[in-house]
Amino acid sequence: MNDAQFLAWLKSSAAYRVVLIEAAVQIGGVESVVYLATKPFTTGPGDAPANTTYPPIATVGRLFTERLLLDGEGGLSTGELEIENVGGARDAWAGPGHVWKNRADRAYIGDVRWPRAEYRQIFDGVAADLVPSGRQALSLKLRDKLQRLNTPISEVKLGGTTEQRDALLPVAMGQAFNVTPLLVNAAILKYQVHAGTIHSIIEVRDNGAPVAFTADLAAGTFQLHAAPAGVVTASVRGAAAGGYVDTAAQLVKRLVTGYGKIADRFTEDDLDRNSFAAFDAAHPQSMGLYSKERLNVLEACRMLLSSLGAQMVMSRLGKLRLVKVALPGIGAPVSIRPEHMVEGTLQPTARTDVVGAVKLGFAKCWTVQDAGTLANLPEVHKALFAEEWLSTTKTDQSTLATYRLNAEPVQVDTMLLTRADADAEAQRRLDLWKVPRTTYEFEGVPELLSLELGQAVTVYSPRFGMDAGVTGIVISLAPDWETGRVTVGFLV
Amino acid sequence: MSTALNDRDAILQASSVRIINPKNASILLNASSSLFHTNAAGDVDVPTITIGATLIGLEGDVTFTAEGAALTSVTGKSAVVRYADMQGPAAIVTARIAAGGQTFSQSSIIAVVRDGAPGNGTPGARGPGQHYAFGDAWSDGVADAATPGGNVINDVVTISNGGRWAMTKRWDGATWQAIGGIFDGSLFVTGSIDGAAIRAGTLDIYAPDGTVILRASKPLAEQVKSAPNLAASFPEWRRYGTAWIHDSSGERATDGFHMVFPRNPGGYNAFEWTIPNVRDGDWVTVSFTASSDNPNGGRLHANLYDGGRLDTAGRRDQVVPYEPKRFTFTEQVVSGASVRVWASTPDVQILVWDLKVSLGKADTPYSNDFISPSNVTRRVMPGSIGNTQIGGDIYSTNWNGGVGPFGTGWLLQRGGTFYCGNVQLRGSIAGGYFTKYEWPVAGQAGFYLGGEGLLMGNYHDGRYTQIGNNGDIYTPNFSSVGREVKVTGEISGSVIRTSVLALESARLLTPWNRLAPFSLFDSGSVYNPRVANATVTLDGFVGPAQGGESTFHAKRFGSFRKDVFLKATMHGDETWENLYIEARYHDASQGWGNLASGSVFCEGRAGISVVIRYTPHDGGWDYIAFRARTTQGKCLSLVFEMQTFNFNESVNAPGSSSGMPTGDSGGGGVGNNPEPWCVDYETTRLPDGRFARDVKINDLMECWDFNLENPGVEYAPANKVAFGEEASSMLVTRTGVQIIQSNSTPMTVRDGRVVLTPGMLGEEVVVKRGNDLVWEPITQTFDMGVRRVVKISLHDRMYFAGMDPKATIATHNLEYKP
Repeated sequence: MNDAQFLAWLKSSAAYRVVLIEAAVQIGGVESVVYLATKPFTTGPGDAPANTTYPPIATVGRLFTERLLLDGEGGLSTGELEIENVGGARDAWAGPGHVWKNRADRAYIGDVRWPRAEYRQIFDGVAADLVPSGRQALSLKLRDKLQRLNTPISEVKLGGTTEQRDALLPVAMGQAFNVTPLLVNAAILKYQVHAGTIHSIIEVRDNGAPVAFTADLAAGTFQLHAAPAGVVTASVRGAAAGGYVDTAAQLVKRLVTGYGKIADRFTEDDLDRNSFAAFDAAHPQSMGLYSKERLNVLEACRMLLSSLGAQMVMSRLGKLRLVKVALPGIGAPVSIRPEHMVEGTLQPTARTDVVGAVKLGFAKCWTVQDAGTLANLPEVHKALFAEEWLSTTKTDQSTLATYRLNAEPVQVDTMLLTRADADAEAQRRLDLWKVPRTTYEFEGVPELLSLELGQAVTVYSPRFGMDAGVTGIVISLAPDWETGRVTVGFLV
Repeated sequence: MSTALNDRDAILQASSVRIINPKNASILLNASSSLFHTNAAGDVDVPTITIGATLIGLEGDVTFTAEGAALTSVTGKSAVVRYADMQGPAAIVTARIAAGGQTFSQSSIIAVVRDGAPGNGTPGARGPGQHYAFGDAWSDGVADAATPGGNVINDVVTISNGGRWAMTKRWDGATWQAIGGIFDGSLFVTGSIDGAAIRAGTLDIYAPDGTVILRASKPLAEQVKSAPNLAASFPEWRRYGTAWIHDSSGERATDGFHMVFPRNPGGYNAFEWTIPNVRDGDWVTVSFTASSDNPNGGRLHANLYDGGRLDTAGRRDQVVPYEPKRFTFTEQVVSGASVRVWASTPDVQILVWDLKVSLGKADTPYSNDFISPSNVTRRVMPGSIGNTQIGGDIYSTNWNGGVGPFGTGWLLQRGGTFYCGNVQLRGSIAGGYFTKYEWPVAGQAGFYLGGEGLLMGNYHDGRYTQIGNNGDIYTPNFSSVGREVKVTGEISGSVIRTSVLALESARLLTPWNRLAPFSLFDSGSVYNPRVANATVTLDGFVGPAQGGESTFHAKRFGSFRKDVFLKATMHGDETWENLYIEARYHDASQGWGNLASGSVFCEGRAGISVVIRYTPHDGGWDYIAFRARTTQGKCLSLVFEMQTFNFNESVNAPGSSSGMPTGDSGGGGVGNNPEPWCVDYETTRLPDGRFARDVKINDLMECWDFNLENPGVEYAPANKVAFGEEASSMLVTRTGVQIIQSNSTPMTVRDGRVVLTPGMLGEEVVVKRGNDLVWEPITQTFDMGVRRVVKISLHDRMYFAGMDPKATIATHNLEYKP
């Protein structure tokens, strides 16, 4: 079945839609799968799974809402599935013998008359939990697959017998300035900046003054040639196993596939390769981060992507995509006309605050040092170690005057490394938000189920000044698989 | 991976000083001038002094201070002291910087130096100079007067009279001496000499190869030639033997004046002429044109004679019969020179003309080689013109200015237009952007006509004509390729004459987009040798192969319902017979259904007829079969005929033959029932905002023009308005457009079928939203019970109405109602 046939089916009044749910669960210590559906459905002997009954005990409305957050921070999307529990028939499902948390949940849609292979996947995520919903129902709380990244980057500790035995081995990704290495062997003055191969050590310092050292790049360590007088720091180009990378897309890819709990790590198949490639090509800025503490993979990715106003989203097929809130959106705009909207459903939902100035922090100093400890350094150098962030501010005087705004905005910190990149990003944000933006929402026809977050759209309507069409970006999608309609949110 | 380094490390690594060591740190100051200087008048020649600071072992910016002056343009590395800001004869500028807990400083002293008043010494004697005076001739007295305070050795005086004459002389301490000399030509830059006149009556100008560029002794007319022809007119040439001159009028080289070397000469034949003013060492070039009158040609000699002898072997060449040939030879003069021309073939007459003798080594063009009115009065010799440019039009002598059928001759205008009678080409013609049988890029038009065919316009722009040499024709809306002709749009005409015409269109439309009134016929008969039952079955009209029923013939022209006329006629026994007309629909398992039956007395001929209205199943292609049969065994022959008229969408009015209920049995049409189709009284509004209940007869209403592919709006007057109550339903389209209308309301849907309101779920209707018309499916229907309704008739049109005037639905159906 091709896309056109599937769309025709979605539009057809003769369709008997059914949503199949396959929820992984641990029952009595044994990993298993529970099959549910919104209408009775049983697979045939040639299907996979074969001869399996999906009891019609699930209620699915707007199973899941995909959403882009305008603050660029990103986050987890949530959904919910109601399971019939009349008379307590499935009370055990909510009991301690059933563990649903962090198990895979998948949903598919099709016609009750179709073979199982013809069904299309509409959700690929994990369960947050299954909880009772009153006396007659259970509620399966859903999260997108990003939940799997909600784990520490590394839990590997130094070990041994030293007092630092409980210290986490540091992780250095991309470029990091003035990090505090972990002293791994005081007897030989050996320090570690990354738990693995690194690209290079730019410089090692003792109280800010460069000192001689010998690097072991394969081990991510270095040894000082002489005992230090003060605080030992270093600037590094970090993780290089598989090749050194320092762009946001490459670092995120490296983080989600190579860090965190092994069982929860993404594979290449979990990534939307086209999205990553396009994002990487459009965003060559160098970045870096360093962690000696319990940094979360999700948070690390957010730090990198939010530096560019981008965020991670999961597609309905469970593919990780990188999307940026920007105008225009991704790709050629899709024309949406009144015939694509349910009459009277188009309405504004929010309006953004106008911004007249943007201040970004960049080139993070990972170890801030008191200027008083930096004797014999040129004065101009002391500030480089004493300030955590360099900053840049972009202002639009016309906007400030028009809206009577404050010219000194709150600084937003980024993982960008150079003033040129920070200037460009600040200007981009200023250009985007210096005019009031409005978000709208409408209920769309089945053709619009193919929209994706971040996609460019041109919307025509006799209302809201859209007669000649306005170009925007899709920021939310809430498909209703029972009706074939989708609630579309967009920003213009 | 980017090679960019983060800004902080980049700053550190670019720094030359990372650690401050006081023993090696200092500031160096340098000033653009060590002092300000003023002359005796008080003018300062150095108004500002810039002091720069260079840091040694230090990093950062210095702070400048000054004593005795004010500083301007102060930066972290420099400062400026202006003379105007000096407060005394000297100032001290100091630069300071703090680093590593210490302060480093350095100072520079700026002084002011002023010149004193001028002294009282005796001026020295005058030196030699260049002086000028006015006069028409040189005069020592005038020159003496021109030098101030007496002559000084090497004084130079020029006396001139204002541009017509001048002379310059130098004083050598005793006399005025003329100044002469030779100017090296390389001193003159090309184009640098500009003067009113050069007076030199004996000046000859030669090219390096000896070619005379300008000769003082020759008239001006000669000077325009690159190498003047020195040859005398033919009568001045000495003749030997029987050589003679064809014309002795004195012209020397124009057409019609020939040296003639006749056939069978009695002795030595030659012409000779001594070149005047030639100097030893000069190069001479002789050229002429010759031809013979003998098919075998002839041999012609030419050479220079120096002092009465041949200085070199004879120059000779074969003359080509009847074809003029140019001869050229170049020699250097040894001791005077004569040109001699002679022929050595006795039985050939040789003509020589256009003879040129010029100085120089090169055979420069002879003036008579160029076309002028004097030498082309008769003809231009073949090959005479190598390359040329025409400044105006050229035309034949019989060009009469006519461009129509009465024009004669030809005209080639300078602007590029050519008029002539006939053109025969070996190749192709092309215009505009065309150069070959190939479409140029979009935006470029023109034409090409060649052996491959004809191209006009540009295919890429959608406006084009192409006719291939195989007869294929391509245009945007018409093509004839091979045996297939395609037309987009209408075909005008009255007759299509063909032996076979296959029509594959699902709908054949007449003007006003109505279906053409096609008819189908079918018949069958049975003859029984004795009285018996008989059955005649007709497959009826069927659609293209559907499912397994591929054996039926395609007879339908559209997927609309049909009116079918059936007639069974029998002849049999002289008693009563039962005659049945039956139908079997698409699903054969349903068996035959009775349409009409009767008991007929069949002594002679008898029969029954019936008209039914048949609507194909579900709007798709379908078939139906009919049969007539008898049951009493009294039949001798049975003839069964079927005729169907595709009148349903024709221009025929309701009540025509197909619309009338006929016969006494079976499936007849609904006939002229009162118009029940109507819309809701309370809620129905029109696109202009009016309620449907407010419509008056003859009010114009917006209607669908029934263009299925590209729906449009037309206006029509309401011809009937009434009110009533009927069972009604609400229809809702995919985008939520709504209307409440009676269940009896028929609607024409996208594929042309007519469907009653209760069956509209899933059917596509025309929705009007603003000026846009789109097809949308009905996704919801709701039973609204019996409601008050407005019955509006616009004959055969569907009008737009709905619950929201901004989005309405084409309701009511076309002419025919189910």
